[in-house]
Amino acid sequence: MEVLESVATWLCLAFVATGAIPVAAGAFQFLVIPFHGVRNHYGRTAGYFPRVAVVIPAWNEGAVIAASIDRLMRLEYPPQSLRVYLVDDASTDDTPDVARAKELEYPGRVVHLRREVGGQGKSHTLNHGIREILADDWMQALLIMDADVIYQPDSMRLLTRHLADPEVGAVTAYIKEGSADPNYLTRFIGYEYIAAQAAARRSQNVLGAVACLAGGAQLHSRENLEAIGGEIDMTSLAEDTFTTFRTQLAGRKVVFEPHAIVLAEEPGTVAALWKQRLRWSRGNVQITKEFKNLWFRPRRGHNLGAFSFGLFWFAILLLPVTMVLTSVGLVGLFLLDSALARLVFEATWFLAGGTYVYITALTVMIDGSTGRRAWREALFFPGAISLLVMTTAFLPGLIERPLTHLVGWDPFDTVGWTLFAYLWISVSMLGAWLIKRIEPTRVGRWLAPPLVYLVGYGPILCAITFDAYIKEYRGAAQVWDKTEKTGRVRAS
Amino acid sequence: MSRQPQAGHADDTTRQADAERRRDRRREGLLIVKALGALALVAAAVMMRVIYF
Repeated sequence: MEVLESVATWLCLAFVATGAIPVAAGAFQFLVIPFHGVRNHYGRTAGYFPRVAVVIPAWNEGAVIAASIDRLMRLEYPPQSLRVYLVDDASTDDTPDVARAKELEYPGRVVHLRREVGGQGKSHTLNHGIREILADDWMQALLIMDADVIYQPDSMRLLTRHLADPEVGAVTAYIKEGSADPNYLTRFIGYEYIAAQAAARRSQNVLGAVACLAGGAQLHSRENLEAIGGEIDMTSLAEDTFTTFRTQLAGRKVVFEPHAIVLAEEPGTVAALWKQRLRWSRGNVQITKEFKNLWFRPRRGHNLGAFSFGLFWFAILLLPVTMVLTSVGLVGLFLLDSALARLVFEATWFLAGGTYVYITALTVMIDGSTGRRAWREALFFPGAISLLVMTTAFLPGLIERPLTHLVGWDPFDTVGWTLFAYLWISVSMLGAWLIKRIEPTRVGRWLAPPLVYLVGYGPILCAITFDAYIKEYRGAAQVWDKTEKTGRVRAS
Repeated sequence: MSRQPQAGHADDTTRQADAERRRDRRREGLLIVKALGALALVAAAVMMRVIYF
């Protein structure tokens, strides 16, 4: 019996330890960021203006496409070296009319390509354009972008300067949330994009392996595009990540340029966010399977097999699993040895609390303008409930003492609260799913925003990843659910 | 493919590229200051716990 208890205790401890892995990975990734000051690609850049073909896939983008093309035409880039190919994927709105008008307005600089039969997805639309572009030798570099994004005037030349180094195959920009009328959710996304792009991709630059060229801003040299087969992957839902991996596997570097800024319109409701991120998460599951022989196997020529890259990748992909395991481990320990469970719980949240403070502070400072707009969302990213749990573990007594004075007893020193705190790590994902369910209702529209601050934006992303596992396991139809765009991107 | 700046623009292009490279290197150099600021906050939180809790 004692042996059995001992085995169960160690098993529970191992489960809880899995929860510490993503925290440690996040801390490591963000500790690497300052090294971008000394280990970056700027030493190998030069003023370089290749002939750039911009390919824009468009399906019913009439509301946004004119502004995007106008902004491209005003880029600080030699006009004779920039050509826009709008690939209209059998749109049924006024996209063809807008495209034809822009063709006339910018003769020789805007080309309208029309697919009469469409609906096969973004990569098919892109490849239709890429085939046309590769048919002659005018193009020296190809920029893949989304129809709704707005490039800052200097962004193109900040990207192309990296291609002066022939070892670089592709460059990506910092996609910044840029809604003209931001709401609570777009501010959460704005903060998330600093953390996931401006911050995390700097550390990927330092470590020499980049996870993803942003779908809305990826610049490829012609040589790279031809080396990866002259087309974009059509088998997965993450064609941009697929292309990023192929580029690095072909022996070329991928560079993230944090100062090339591209503004994008992002979802304003949990339902729209869920749809968009489910596609991304399913794509990441597909990539993980497709490149199954790559992980944690260092090779010459690329760093995708490095331990650090695999750690960052799986820390995100398996976060929902580790959350559930942590809860199970803590509850198991509580049943076996409640004092040990409390010790382990406090140690885990102490590590999480320190990491949270460091990551949040650094992220907000990395992009000060977005950080100032979204500081509340930065603070409440894990959710108010998790913050409460974290505070009781990190600074025990800070809340408990005054509360005990006030109500005469300590509600945090009860079995109910202890079990709730242990379970909340994983139950928060259920809370996120419930927000998505109630949001479309009349009451839900009002309740959803405060509930997101309460439950947290992070648990929503984890719940979406969990949903992606289920969809992939069941082999759900691979549908290109387009995110609705309305042209809400601000002018600058 | 030629990766040299186009003739006629070479000097201006080179000057601008050099200036932007210096600017961006300077900006990236500030990351260490920001990271130290963030670490100082963590240290402050830990000290608070040690002293008061």
